[in-house]
Amino acid sequence: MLVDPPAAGDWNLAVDEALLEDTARLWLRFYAWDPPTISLGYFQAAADFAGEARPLVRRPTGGGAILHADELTYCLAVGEDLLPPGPGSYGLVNRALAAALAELGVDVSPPRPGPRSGSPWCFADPVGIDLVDRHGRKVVGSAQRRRLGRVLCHGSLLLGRVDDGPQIGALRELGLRGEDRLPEVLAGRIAAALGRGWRRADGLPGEVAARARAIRAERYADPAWTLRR
Amino acid sequence: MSAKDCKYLESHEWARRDGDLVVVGITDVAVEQLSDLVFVDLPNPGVLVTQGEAFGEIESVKAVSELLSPVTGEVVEVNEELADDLDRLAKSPFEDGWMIKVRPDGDGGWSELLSAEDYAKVAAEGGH
Repeated sequence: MLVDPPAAGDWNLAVDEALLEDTARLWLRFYAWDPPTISLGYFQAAADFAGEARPLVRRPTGGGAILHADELTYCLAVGEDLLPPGPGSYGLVNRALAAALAELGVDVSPPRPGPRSGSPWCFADPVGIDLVDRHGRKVVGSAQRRRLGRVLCHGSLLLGRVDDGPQIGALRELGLRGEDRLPEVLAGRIAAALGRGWRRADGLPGEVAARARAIRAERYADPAWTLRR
Repeated sequence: MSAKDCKYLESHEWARRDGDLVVVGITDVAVEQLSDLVFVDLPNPGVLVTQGEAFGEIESVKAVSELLSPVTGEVVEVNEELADDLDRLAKSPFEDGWMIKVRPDGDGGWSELLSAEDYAKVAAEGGH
């Protein structure tokens, strides 16, 4: 388990992909984004965000675009034996996230089925694999990448609102207590759900950091990758 | 043609001989597992594919998964209609939902693929 300081989007995504490739270990990483960055879903069209002044990156995971500003992001990288393909894998992680948030004073649940807005923004459109507050506002969004018999689960927990951002819910406004304990509590609940334990790492192992640097140069820092669709 | 005429990878891709070519797609088990297919990205004709390595990608329920090639060879035809009509894949994974046709390099690794019977056992155990 890693709790990383805020970093640029290209580095954050490169580290996550290196953790996906690190088949020797299970990983849970928490981090934030500096500067605030828009991440596109893997298949999204970059043209929809042509006027955005903020940095753009393209995630390896699916779903819609996210403005990563005042949020806690997690990356869970484990074998598919623990999280087989299909919506059920989101459910297992979401139940752990909901239990952790309840422990810190916030009740969230999957949304009721409703019409889709068609917005390119992830948080504008709650779907069954998301978590919403009691008003139906999405506060946790998730996506996955599957490769090499492993799965990378990405999730964003919205802590605060961004004035000009698309987010519509925020955990702090819902009474989140002990925000600094959030990674630790989430890690405990996710470990229990997976039947595994975490050991806190001081940083990335050398070979994983080297791979992350290579992945950043090959993909996430390359505008051709971000604008490829 | 039916699922019994095909050979398989554990990761739920099927391969079927069609003259000199091998037709490739994903199984009904994969379609059911993935559910709610949204995007598919397939290679262009002329691309070389390798058995067990990715030839394309598919997104379902915000999850992007790789499609692995059952055989080694050259892509000679792509189901161009699939990207705009993933219902074809959902409703008819072994026929209308085919993905690529490959001219195999030699046997392309055909003899290493799972039989329908062996694939059924893998799928029943949960597969990949």
